Amino acid sequence: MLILQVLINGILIGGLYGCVAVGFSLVWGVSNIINLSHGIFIMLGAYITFWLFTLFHIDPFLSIPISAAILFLVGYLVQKFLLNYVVGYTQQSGFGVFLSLILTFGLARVLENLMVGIWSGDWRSVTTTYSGLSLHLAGVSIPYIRIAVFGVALFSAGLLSIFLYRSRAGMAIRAITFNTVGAQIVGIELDRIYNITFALGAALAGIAGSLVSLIYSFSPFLSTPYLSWAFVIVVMGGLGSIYGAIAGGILLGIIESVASVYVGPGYQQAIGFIILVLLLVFRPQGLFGKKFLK
Amino acid sequence: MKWAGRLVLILLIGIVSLLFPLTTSIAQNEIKIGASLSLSGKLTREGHGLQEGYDFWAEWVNNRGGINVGGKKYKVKMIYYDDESNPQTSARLFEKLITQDKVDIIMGPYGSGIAMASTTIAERHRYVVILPLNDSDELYNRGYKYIYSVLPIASRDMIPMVDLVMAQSPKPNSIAIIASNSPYPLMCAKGLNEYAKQVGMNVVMYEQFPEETSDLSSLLSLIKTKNPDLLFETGYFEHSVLITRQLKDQRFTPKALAFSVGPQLPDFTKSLGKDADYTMGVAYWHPRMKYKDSAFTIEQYNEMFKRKYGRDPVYLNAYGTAAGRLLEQALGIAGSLNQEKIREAMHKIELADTIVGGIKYDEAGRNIWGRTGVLQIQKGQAEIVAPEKAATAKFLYPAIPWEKR
Repeated sequence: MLILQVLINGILIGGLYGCVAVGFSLVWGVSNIINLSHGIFIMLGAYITFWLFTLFHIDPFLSIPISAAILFLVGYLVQKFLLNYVVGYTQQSGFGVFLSLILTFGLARVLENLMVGIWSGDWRSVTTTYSGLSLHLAGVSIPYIRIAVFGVALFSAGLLSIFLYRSRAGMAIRAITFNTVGAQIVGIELDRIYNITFALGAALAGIAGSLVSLIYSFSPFLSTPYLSWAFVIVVMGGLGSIYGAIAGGILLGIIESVASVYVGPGYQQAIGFIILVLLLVFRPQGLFGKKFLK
Repeated sequence: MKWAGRLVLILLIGIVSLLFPLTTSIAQNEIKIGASLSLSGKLTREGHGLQEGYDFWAEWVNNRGGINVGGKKYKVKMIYYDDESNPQTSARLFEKLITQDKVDIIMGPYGSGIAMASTTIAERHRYVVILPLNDSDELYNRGYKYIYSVLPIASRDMIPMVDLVMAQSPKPNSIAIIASNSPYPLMCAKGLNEYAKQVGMNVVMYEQFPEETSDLSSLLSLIKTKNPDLLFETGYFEHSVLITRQLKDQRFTPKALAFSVGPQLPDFTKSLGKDADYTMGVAYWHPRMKYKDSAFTIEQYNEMFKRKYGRDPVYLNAYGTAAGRLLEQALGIAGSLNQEKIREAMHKIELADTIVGGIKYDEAGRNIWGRTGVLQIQKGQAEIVAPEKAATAKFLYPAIPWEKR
């Protein structure tokens, strides 16, 4: 039964990984911005849930929309007042990717230190009355919280997908991905769409953060590992693809889980990065990516 | 304008040269103790804690007339520098303390990484350094002759827990050991593994896991299939919470569960609630321990400390103070401020009772009488369960399964 348990463990954590990567992948794919502050946005989401739970006893699952909304706003403002200047410069020179890297890296450090300054570097966690309860079936245990986290992760990705394919703004986002110049010719305002895209990416980071707070302890310094997971998953799943990110996340979850038992727990993360390197060499468009954006 | 500038300069030089003879004349009948501490940077909290411990001791000993060295009383004067939590800066400051301030003795900074760099400088100048909170094995495996640890070395941190569980009935006979793959946890786990085998325990697993992980469920599933009596982990706070939660998820309750870091911190019980009970942790020091040294008990120490700082001491303070008390003993035996004499005296020291436990040195300066305590969470409270003479409660064994609590 060990293998079944290990697979289930991997799939459940994989849903969260996918949620961590979706927003990152969207922003990179659409705006060509590698958002290094994605990890710290996730931590911000976790803190929002933590404080709402600690101060006002709001159930962590109910605080998910709140942290998504706050992060949406933060993301919108960051893009509008910081990144658009850089992205504008990008189009002519091709330096934009580097500039966006520097800018988002700096932003991440500023936010991280602000968070340490205000909330200290202590480890926080959210413990609800239903934490630690699990379903036991045929010798396999499945914690309820993880099932719920998995469900919310998939649900958020689904919502994003509906938005991208059914709404005007969503279709504009997709139009830009396919042809930036063409989209502008038909009257799509580039800056506004970039604002919405980045805000969506940040909102998804907020959701992921709320979910992280439910299953793990966190501090502002935890942002880096989540950022690196997002990288691996995006490369696995393909840039800008929602399904790719979710599938990549679940795949990474399974790989880590299986590796920790059958290769050795020390290799849990190493295997993921080895696969990343191999993919970059042999299949740079990702396992599920339709196209690879420069 | 040029004239005005020169005038100011001349005046400044005048003032400074007037001040100098004053400071040197005060310096007589004084022992200058130098310490570079992390007063800024990421180890600020630890640096300040240690400084409070030193300051407490300096004031205490000065109120009693100072340290007796060869029949003459010397007052203590502390000289502090801020190493900014940076090993290179610490090394530079050690050089300054030795060559410019010409201090009589050096007390250590917080942290092994920082002491690695700075003790190299002291060793070159043949200066004795007392290290209150620097317990990395590596530090003492370099063959240095002038360093002395107050803490027991890291690889022995988990050993008192093994002794404790082996004294229970029925005796446990299997253990799983997992360690986060960073230097301190690996050192602890290595010492633990060797000791567990030595006392005849069956080590069913001895593995490391990545430090930055957010999921250990599969590793724990694997451990569950091996069903060991004990699960001991060496790592950091976040791992201890994650492992406890995921063990409960999987309904696996080892007879004893121990973490190197976690249960000591109030956040552990805050995060886990009832699930924190029965968990063991390393207790470097605790204000409720029942230790005493030749001048005061821990209770009295707490009281005096509270009067000065308005709160209970923590281990950082206690080890700083203990280092000062140790220095007093060493200088008493040496009867001189000569570094070689002090070094000889350090090796003669045999202190069964101090506020941090026993102190005796081997050739490399490891404290071989030092022993960490063991604490166990009982009804949400951290209780000291070992060593016996410091204990505040009886050790509860075996742990009651999660679902029956």
